[in-house]
Amino acid sequence: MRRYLYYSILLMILSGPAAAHIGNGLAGGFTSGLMHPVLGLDHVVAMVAVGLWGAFLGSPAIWLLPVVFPLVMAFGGALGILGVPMPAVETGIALSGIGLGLMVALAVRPPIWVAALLVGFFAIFHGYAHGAELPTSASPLAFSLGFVISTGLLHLAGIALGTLTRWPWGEGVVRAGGGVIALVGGGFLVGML
Amino acid sequence: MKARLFLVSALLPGAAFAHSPIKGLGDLYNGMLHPLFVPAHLLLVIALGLLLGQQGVRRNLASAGTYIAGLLGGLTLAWHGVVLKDGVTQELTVLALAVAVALAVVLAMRLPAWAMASLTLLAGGLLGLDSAQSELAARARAVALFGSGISLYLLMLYPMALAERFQAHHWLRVGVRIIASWITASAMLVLALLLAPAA
Repeated sequence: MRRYLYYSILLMILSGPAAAHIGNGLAGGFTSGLMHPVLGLDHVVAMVAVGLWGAFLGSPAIWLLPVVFPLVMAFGGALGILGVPMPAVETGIALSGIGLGLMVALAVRPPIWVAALLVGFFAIFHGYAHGAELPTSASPLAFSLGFVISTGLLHLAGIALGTLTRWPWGEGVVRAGGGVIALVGGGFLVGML
Repeated sequence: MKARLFLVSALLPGAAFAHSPIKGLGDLYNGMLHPLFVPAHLLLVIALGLLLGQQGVRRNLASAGTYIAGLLGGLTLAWHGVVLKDGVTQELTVLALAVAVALAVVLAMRLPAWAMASLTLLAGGLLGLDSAQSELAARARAVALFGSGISLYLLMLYPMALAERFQAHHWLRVGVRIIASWITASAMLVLALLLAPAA
């Protein structure tokens, strides 16, 4: 049991470090992509929230939501690349933090298809924002691979934290984490962050 | 352990030498490293390995054979200087196939043997065809293509072996599908970029 706690802490630490620079070529594209979601707190909280909520809901949501998110995110990214106009992208990203954070904080347990639909809806906004960076990247494929992997690792960090729910005190910690995420989302919505 | 080390080295980002030889290296090593420096190739070959492993290697031994056949055919065509319209079209086709193969892994669909054989034949052919390094002369090109062939074969074997072993455990099966979803997502994005009017 203690091992899971150590893993959770380690994954949370690993998801944090950030060094902002634009690299060149394949390596630079990959690194830029890897850093892109991590450098935006609004992205970080929403993606951690997806993992948290998945862990909270249990199987199959714990793995289905992190699969749905990157796939729909890619669809959103494609919309951005193809120049399909989308209103209020930043508002959508902020709302994703609030919405997903509240789902965890209030321990909402909807049917799996509702959870997948909600996560997919928010993923479109995140994908759109990432997709806008793609054409300017030195290596678009390496950039996209980097940010998709980074997104997945942030989900994993959320799942790791979410595994605390196996202890009675852990559920409170996870729900409080959801509350913090909702607050951060709110901060972005009103322009405080 | 060996497989883990190989996967880590395959996923590590390297310098951008895609489709051009690395100076100071022999032609064989240049060819062997080529698929590692072309992300589209990596995505397709890893997705294909995951699919074969997920579907069961014993059940799909013929498909592993058609992959080699396709690879040999594609490499031979590349040696003769055959190009599928242009470089962008070739990359687009490789990525489109990577999306299809990775999506099949995500959905964990049981594919019929003929579909598996067709997919592997097509993937092998495309990867071989797209492995040409135009800067190299005839003999050097042949050696480099031989190296690429070995590399593309090995790169398919490792994820295939891992994916098959992972089928024994629920969480590892899920892991295979999650990696496939990452491959689908990044390939889809670059496909959109290649298809965008401004591209």
